[in-house]
Amino acid sequence: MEGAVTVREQATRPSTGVATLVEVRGVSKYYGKPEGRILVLDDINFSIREGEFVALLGQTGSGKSTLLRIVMGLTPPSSGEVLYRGEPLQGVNPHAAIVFQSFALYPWFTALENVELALKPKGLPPEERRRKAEAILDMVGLDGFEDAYPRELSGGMRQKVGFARALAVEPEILLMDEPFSALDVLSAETLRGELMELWLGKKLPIKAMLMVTHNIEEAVLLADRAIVLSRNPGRVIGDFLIQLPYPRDRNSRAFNGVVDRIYRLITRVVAPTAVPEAELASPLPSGVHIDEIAGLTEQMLGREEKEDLYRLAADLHMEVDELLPVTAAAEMLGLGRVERGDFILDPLGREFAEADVLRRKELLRPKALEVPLVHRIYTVLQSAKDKRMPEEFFLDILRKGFSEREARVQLETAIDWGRYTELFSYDHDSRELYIE
Amino acid sequence: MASIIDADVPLPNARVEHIIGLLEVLDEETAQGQVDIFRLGQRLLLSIDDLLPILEGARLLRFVDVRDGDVNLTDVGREMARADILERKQIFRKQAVQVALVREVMGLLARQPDHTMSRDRLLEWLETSLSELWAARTFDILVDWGRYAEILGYNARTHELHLTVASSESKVTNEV
Repeated sequence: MEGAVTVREQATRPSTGVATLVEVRGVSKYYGKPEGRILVLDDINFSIREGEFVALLGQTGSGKSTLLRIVMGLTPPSSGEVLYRGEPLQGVNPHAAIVFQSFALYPWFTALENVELALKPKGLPPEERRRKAEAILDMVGLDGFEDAYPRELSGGMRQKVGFARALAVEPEILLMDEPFSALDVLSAETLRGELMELWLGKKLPIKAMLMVTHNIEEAVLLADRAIVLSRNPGRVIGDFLIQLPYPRDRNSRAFNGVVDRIYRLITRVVAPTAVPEAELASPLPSGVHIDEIAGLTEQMLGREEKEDLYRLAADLHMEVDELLPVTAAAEMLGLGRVERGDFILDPLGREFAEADVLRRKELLRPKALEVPLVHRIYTVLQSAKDKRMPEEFFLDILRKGFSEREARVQLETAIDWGRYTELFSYDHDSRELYIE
Repeated sequence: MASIIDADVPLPNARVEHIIGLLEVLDEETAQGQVDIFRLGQRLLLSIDDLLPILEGARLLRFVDVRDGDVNLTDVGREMARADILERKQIFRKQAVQVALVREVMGLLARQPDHTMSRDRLLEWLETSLSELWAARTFDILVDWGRYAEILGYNARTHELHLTVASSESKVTNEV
């Protein structure tokens, strides 16, 4: 099972005669002023050769989209460089095209005209432009939709026009930023299948593809290599070849083995590391309410002691991306833990899931007090006059380590946990936290 | 093959790409035989309300058989799931012209001067057997299927629908 994935070493693939297209060398990116700068990407290195379909995987906050923009030449790196065919990239890469999550098509132009517009900078005569645009629409199966306006097209068809527009300029490398994630599940299925038909059937002039996605299953379904990024900041924590034959069967053991292995890799580094220098060293999983944690533990009842995160997410109708903060919160409260791509319900978690509301509060109270932010709020309130403090007081502390928005989310989350365990409460009128 | 489907039935809200996506999923899920529709909805994270019109569309086009809450691909459904982009359009066309309503509209257009008809007139015609809402929805799906199958063209600037198939194929529909 594990044989399907090999950790990539430079020598894994025979390199003779295969040109290297993209080389990312020591690329870092930070935002903000030097004194308070936020590191988004940290020392990224990889290269992409002809014939490769590489998936760039990572959760929110891994800087994967920023990295894609750097490869395209839309955003300069703060340090390091990107080479294309051995030459340092200067501005936008003329040999690359990019497909975004959803395309801004011109609403007053037809599908055909939208594709023709992409060809305008090439300076072709109008007849030549039309012929090329028609040919590319034909190739992606949009023959018959030439005179349709974007509003007449469903999301999937619009995205096909987006692909056609990117392909029209005959790029050597196609970059894609979550190209299927704005689509409904069936349209996404159709478009993935058709993209693979064009790619594997070598019907495209394209020599390599790089796709950003947060969807591990999608990456394993399509790509022949996955580069995995950590978050806050983004660092390369895995670089695998995915050596499964096409078409890939999502129900096969080998497929699930690869998916599982990547989940394990990503969840291993899920522990919040957002602001290590912050006074409050361990932030709460953003915006996770106790109700969601309770829902997770209830979902585990009647199952084996452990459950695959991917299956659990599907049963909870969530993306794994959304589930991870909830499992992190459960872990923080001693209700369960994530191990090797599975969520394991601990005895306390089982007791919690089976208990009534009052008992749940009792069970969780001592655990909540062990959470640094909750503990801190509780002790501050205990020593305060009237056992009340304005929320601004806590927000001020939190702002030292978090953005304005995240500071508020942290406080809201702490209030939810404090309220549930009846450790403290919040008065909406006076905007104060208090102990009754 | 005689059509068993009444032309008075509106076309379900099933876009081509949704039907194809469904067939691809079914090709994978029915490897061991038919699947339960409720299960399929769960697997796709689709509510039954969203899934049923798409299934109904696939059934009208004879890509799937639905029986007792289970669904399976027909031979042509499986062929469609595995065909390439251009073959799919041909298969879809063969199936679409067997749908009673599609045939009737093709026949209607074939009798018009220039094989062209305004949206309003076609809606009027549809409204003789469908409610206003369903007539409008059916029109949208008709255009979606018709464009994909390259049977119909619709110009949203002039609001005109026209027949785009070769005359030999439109003749077949005239016999309806």
